[in-house]
Amino acid sequence: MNTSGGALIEVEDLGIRFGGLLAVSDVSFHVSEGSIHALIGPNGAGKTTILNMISGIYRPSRGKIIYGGRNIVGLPPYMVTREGIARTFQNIQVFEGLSVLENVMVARHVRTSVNLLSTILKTPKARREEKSIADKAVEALRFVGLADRKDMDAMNLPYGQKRLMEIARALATEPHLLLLDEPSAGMNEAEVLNLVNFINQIREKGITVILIEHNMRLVMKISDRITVLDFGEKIAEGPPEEIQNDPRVIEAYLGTENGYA
Amino acid sequence: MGFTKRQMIVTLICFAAAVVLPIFFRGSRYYMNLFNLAGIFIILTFSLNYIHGYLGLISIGQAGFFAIGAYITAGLTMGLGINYFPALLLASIAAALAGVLLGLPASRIGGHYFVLITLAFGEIVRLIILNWKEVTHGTNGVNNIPPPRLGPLLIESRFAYYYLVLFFIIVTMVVAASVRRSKYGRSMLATKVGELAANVMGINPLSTKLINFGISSFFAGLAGGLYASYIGSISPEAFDVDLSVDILTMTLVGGSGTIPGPVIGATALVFLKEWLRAVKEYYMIIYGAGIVLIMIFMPYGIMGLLRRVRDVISSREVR
Repeated sequence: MNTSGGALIEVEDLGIRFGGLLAVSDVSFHVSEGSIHALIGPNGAGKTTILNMISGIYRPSRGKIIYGGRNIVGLPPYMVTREGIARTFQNIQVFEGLSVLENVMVARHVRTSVNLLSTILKTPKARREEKSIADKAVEALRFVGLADRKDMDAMNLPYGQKRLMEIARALATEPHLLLLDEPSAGMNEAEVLNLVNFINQIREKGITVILIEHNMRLVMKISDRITVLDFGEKIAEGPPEEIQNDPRVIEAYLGTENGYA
Repeated sequence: MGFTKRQMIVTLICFAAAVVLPIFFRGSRYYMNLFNLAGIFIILTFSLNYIHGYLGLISIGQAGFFAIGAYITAGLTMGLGINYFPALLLASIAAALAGVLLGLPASRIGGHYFVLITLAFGEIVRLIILNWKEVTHGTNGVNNIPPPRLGPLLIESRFAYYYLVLFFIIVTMVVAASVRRSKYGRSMLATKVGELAANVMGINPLSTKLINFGISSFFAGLAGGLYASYIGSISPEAFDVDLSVDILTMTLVGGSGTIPGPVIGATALVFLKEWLRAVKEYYMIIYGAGIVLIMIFMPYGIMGLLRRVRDVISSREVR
């Protein structure tokens, strides 16, 4: 949008309690417009919980989420999406029974305006809108290389392609901010390389990305900034080079989870 | 997402068959009556097809909306002297509003509780009709409801009524197809299989469900208005929970969430019930057992079975 480098979203003292469990406590970070910001940390660190609070699925017990200059805490998920925040899911959420194209078309509805009566009567305006929904959905599918799969039942897509379809679906909502929750999970080496490519292209479109990822090579390669979480608290933040050499991170995360290094 | 050529041909053949069918049965008041009842049930089944097929919810309160359509149509034509067709439209809109109102609390809950709320709604409507004697005449019902008048044309005979019902079935089917292929239909189906994911994709779950309930009850009301003027007299016992259960059975037997499903399910069960009259007291046993077997062996109804057969045939063709 206008001032590149300013914060698009500011998470302030965010906390959430599930019963007696403090899942996230006093986490703050700013994400600059146009950047790729990674959230990393061991399993259970609270990364997905933070995304769930940003996208309106969970309501934080405390703190603020300032997006585009206003606090979006309390908005339901569909309103958050309307404001320009889209996401993918760690556990893939495919709309079963709908084709790949229809899955992506669903995400366009938030940008439409034709009412029910005009839709049922198929007025010229409704037909134009329906065509534009389909065109934009195909465009999003083409971006992730799935345009030739559009008429398939989405459930029959291979796992890696379901993840790509989710990215296409999120992009179809025309977000300013895209939340990717472990996009490389279950992908093979070639697919991961492909994914890096997509994420860079998404940034080139001017979309800001918050990325949760366990694949450290991927994170270090594409992130501008990394926030490290452990047990629901922020333990470090900085550019990749700094995070890689931060003794606290190495101890809390890399040191204990050799597999990820 | 357009219709395939084969679907178009099958649709046209069925439509042509429906147009010529009564010419062969014109002499039989018995069969014409069955066709007309089946037609009204087809529209009713489409009404539940929205709720069950597009949202995955079960309603056993459709008789309530059917009754609202029937009584308001009768009231507007007889009490206020409004022409049948605008009265039918107003009655259907009233039923739709009732559906949206019921949906406000009901859409916040799911599963068994939703079933209970709809069951309660159907009973409330029936009890209001039974007890609000000044308006509904209680158990005596409303009698001598005039037949529909279209300009100089009085739609009185069973033969003429058949075409009136057929016209509204086509309207119902065109709307169903149009909703299914629209953003509203897709939003409903997405909400059905993943409400939270759909919400995150920008779909407002409440308005999606309310629109669904509104359309659903509109058609239940429409069927009620057709029924009232067809039978000529209505009374509360015609709108009890048995009717709602019949509609549910027709929806499931035909194949929920499809366009041909309601047509097949409603027609099959209206005729099955009629033919089983011959076996008298064994009727409910056979009918019940038949439904159970269908549910076990054809979980997606007759349409599901037809699709499976088609898939088997087409996979053989490939080999």
